[in-house]
Amino acid sequence: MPTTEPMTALWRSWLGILAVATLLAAAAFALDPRAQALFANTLAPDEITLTDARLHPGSLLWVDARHGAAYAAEHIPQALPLDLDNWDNQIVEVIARWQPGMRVIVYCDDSACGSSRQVAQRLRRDFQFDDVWLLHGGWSTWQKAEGK
Amino acid sequence: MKTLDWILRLALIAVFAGAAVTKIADPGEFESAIQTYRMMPEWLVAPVAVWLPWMELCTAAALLWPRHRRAALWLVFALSVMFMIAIGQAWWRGLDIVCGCFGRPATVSGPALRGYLLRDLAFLGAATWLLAREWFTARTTAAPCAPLIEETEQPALAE
Repeated sequence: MPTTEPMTALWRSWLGILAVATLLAAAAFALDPRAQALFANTLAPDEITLTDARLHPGSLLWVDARHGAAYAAEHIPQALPLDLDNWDNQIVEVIARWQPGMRVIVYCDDSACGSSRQVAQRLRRDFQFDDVWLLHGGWSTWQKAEGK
Repeated sequence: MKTLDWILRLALIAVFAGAAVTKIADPGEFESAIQTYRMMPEWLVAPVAVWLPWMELCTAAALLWPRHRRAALWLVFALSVMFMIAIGQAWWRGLDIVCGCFGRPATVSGPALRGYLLRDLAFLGAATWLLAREWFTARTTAAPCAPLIEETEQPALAE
């Protein structure tokens, strides 16, 4: 069979390269704590990743729960400010912008900050917003994804 | 011709090995870059960020090995097509992406992506050229006398 022999050799080479690459990747994962850290980011039940937020087919309402100066310096495009200190002033604009079926994603500085969770809880409790999520990793994840 | 083949082969080895090493050196940076393309679900990003650089490095190494060279060239071809699709869809969707190609994290979008596409097209062209040369060499060394046999008239059989 003159035509199948080279194809078999080609497949054997592909499988060999694939196997060696996978073994080396597995070894790198086992030895490199930074590679392990990529898999360690577990999501809380009320968190959403930036990728999944961007893949959401419906409309999004970004809510920035950081303090006013941080929001003024830079924020996610179209995001509205809503921090607990200025709640009464800022909630008006959030309610005006919100529409039924809209997904609300709240963020603060990073995974360690708690203000986004407090804002999200209050939106669910006081205004019956039913599709409210926290951005996993917060503003720092956004900046990282944007290469800043 | 052989000199050109070697130049192209060494260029591909240098590009793929160099790109792989910068990604292996900072897997977190590469993971962030992949996310900017918005092409795959979140659960797939970390495995790809860890595995793909090693695939590039093994492909580069296999290009040095005559026995696996043809398979490696097909992988260069496939990887270049994959990179072009990733960049093309980002351009089409108007995304700001971080290339993640050689460890220079800078956000790029729109027509600026044309340079990346042209670069990948060059890799694709080099792989295609070398595959064609491999095929031609294999064909001529496998059956050097075949054209002579075909051209020789067969003696007429006695009726």
